[in-house]
Amino acid sequence: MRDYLPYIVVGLGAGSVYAIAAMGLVVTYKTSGVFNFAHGAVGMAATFAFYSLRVDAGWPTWLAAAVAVLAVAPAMGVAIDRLLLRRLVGAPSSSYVVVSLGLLVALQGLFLVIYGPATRRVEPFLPQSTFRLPGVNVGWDQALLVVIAAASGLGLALFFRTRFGILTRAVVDDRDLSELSRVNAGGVTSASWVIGCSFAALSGVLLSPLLGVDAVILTLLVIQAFGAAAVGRLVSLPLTYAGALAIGVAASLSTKFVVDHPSLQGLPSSLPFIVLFAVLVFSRRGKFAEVSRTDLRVGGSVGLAVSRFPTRLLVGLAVLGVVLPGRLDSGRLLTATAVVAFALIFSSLGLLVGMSRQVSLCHVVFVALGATTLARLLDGGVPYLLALLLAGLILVPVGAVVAIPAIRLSGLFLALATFGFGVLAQNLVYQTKAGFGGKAILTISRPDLFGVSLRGDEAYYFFVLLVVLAGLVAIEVVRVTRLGRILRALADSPVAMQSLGINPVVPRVLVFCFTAFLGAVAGGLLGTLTLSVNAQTFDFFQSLLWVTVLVTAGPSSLAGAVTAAVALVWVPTVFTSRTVVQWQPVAFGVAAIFLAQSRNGLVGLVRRPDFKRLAERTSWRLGSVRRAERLEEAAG
Amino acid sequence: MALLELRQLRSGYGRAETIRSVDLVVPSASTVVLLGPNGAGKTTLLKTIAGLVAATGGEIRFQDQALTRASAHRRARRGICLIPEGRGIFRRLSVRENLVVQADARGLHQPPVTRAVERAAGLFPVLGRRLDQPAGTLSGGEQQMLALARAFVTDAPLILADELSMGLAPVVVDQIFDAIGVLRSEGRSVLLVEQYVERAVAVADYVYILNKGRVVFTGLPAECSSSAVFARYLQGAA
Repeated sequence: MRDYLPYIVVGLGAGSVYAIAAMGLVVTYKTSGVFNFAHGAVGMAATFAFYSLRVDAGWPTWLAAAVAVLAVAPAMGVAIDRLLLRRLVGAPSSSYVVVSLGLLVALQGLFLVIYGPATRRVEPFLPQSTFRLPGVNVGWDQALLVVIAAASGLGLALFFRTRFGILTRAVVDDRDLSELSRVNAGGVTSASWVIGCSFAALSGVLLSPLLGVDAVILTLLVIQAFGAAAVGRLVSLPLTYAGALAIGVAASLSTKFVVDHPSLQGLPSSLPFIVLFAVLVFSRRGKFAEVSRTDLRVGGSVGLAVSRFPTRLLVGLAVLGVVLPGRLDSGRLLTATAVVAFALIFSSLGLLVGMSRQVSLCHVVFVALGATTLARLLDGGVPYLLALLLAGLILVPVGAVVAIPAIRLSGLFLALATFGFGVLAQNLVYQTKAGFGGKAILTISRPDLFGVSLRGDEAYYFFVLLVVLAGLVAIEVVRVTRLGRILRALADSPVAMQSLGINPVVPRVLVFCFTAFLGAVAGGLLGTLTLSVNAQTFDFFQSLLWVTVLVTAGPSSLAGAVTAAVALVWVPTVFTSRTVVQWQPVAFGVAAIFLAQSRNGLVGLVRRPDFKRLAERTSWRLGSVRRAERLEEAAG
Repeated sequence: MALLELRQLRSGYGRAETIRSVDLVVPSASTVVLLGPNGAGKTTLLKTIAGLVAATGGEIRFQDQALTRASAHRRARRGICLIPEGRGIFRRLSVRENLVVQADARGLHQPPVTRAVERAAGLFPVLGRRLDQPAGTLSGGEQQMLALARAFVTDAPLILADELSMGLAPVVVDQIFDAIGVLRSEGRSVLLVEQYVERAVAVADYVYILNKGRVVFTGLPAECSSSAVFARYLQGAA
């Protein structure tokens, strides 16, 4: 027991910081009905403000912390609520997911541009001395963290027992009626964003001496609070607090365990996500019902229109694909090959995000594991074509696993579960024999097929083009046939489909399996292109970025997928200036925020430019019009 | 003196105009009944007055001040109390908590709440026995009483009542009409949308009939014998 005490002490300290972040997340969610994927990014941004004030401007620590937590973060909260979210009232929950994802991507990108990728050290500001408890030395800083978290939790609990708590629940229950009862519903929602963002900032500031200030790490660390929030079902503050402490202690204890089992080194940092995924997947059905009733459809709902087989576009792309390589130098040819492969990635992701309106945040897992599986099969002497096919098929069961939350959960919770799954796969599976097997890079060599060598870049380009075109045709066939129709209708109204006698389970499993297969094949093609698979290029963050890129370009059609591939892969090679490359994620994040509610991203705007409607959807001053539309829907 | 005055009010949803130039006056301490076939725009008109639907044209004057653009909670604070169609209660809050919100009170055990509870329980004794029950578990009639309690807990001079009797047992409907009688006797104005035409006209000082977003009849209850009202209804329906 003695051996474990120090780990428990450390775990309680870390768990307390997660508790602060998680409680902030829960307050915002249960009051506004919006789950803030950018919670970590907000904390990160405020922590940078703290750092700049303290180190660059030389302010006293307490003042810098107070400004970051009590001024910068609340201002961000109000801005998010008023500028980004108010115009979404009445939108499906997947739109909210996309907006907060866009915010995450944009904020992280922005701070990488401003501060650069290097981690900045922060001098500890909590006392570093220790005191003795029976059997263990405890740092004053750890004790203070525990006290601060407990005090914050208690403060919140008391706060919710006052009038504000009752008003909050009234606003969540029926926003219009609370307005009729003289409650300023918008003010209550803004207040919840202020509290939530302040808590995110507080946790970020408290973490900064331990981990340094780093845009990527801080964003991710606060995200670990998602697991604790899931324990509290996103609504219970006491359960969230307890869950955070438990996760902190378990993660700390597991570091001791991992010393003896090096293959599990990703376990401690994965624990929050194991909890997140497990809670979402294994809790009783219906336990995770979304707080808000924002699922009312607004007139002209999102991205349902496209359902014709795009013969002309496919033929056009094929012709372009055949003609293009003659006009490209060798460097550009490699880029073009990557664009073609990414068209398949985005098109398959579009089956989920666009057509079924199921935001899946683990697409990179299929792509990465497809590439590694291909490499291992080739090592084992399997012929190339067969290996590529097998790599796709082997990932089908993985797709089925991801489909489990898709069957049981909708909108937000599916996005959360797939997010957890993506992080888990990266931390736990990538390093096993099924993935990279402990190596950072796997090599793949290009094959000879039917007497034709694919070693040349041009020959390989045409091979990729052929495979991808076949995949795209298959996707478009799915879109216009029964499976696609059912999935589109399920996105609109699962109840109506069930009343027609359609079992939603089978189509949802099928579409996930299909996307997993295609993603894996595309991953294999990418790996063969670069002759290697690198674990770093398949960071889970890519999944989030891809969703924002796809939503920006147009998630519901082939044209959108191709545009997304060009925007993500081609643009940075044409505009090689560092500025363009750095600002690219920021641009995608911001664009996704504004296009989250459009019919079909940029492509939809080009096909059917309805700028008046876009103005209505992007403007926050016309909230009353949107509200009126929603009321009409509700009434009739 | 006019408590509420609508001047050429227009409103609707998106591009569809539901209220097309309505002029309407609710004098102080009077009951105005608003009749009309389904889809005439009665509910939309009430929501526009209360601020849940934005007016697209015209003017809303209340106590001689324009509040055409004010948000719903501001209008409620000024004294316009809409009891909406359906059940205007917070289903997941207890009855007492509903009263806290209605009374704009600071906490569960404050003087305003006690007063609100006394007021509500005095009018609807059944609510006094169910204070700690979630409001969503009340019967339909009890829920409507709780919704109507807001009119009593606040001292709003203008009550907009939208189909309060819908789907309720006759004995409960009697209680609801009694409560409206109490509001009248307190000198408050009521703008009443009702399906029980004859009962509504019986308590009315003035009658308006709305059809396709326009006022097609204005007059005293005496001027519209029951048959005349029905004749206009039938015209509207045809």
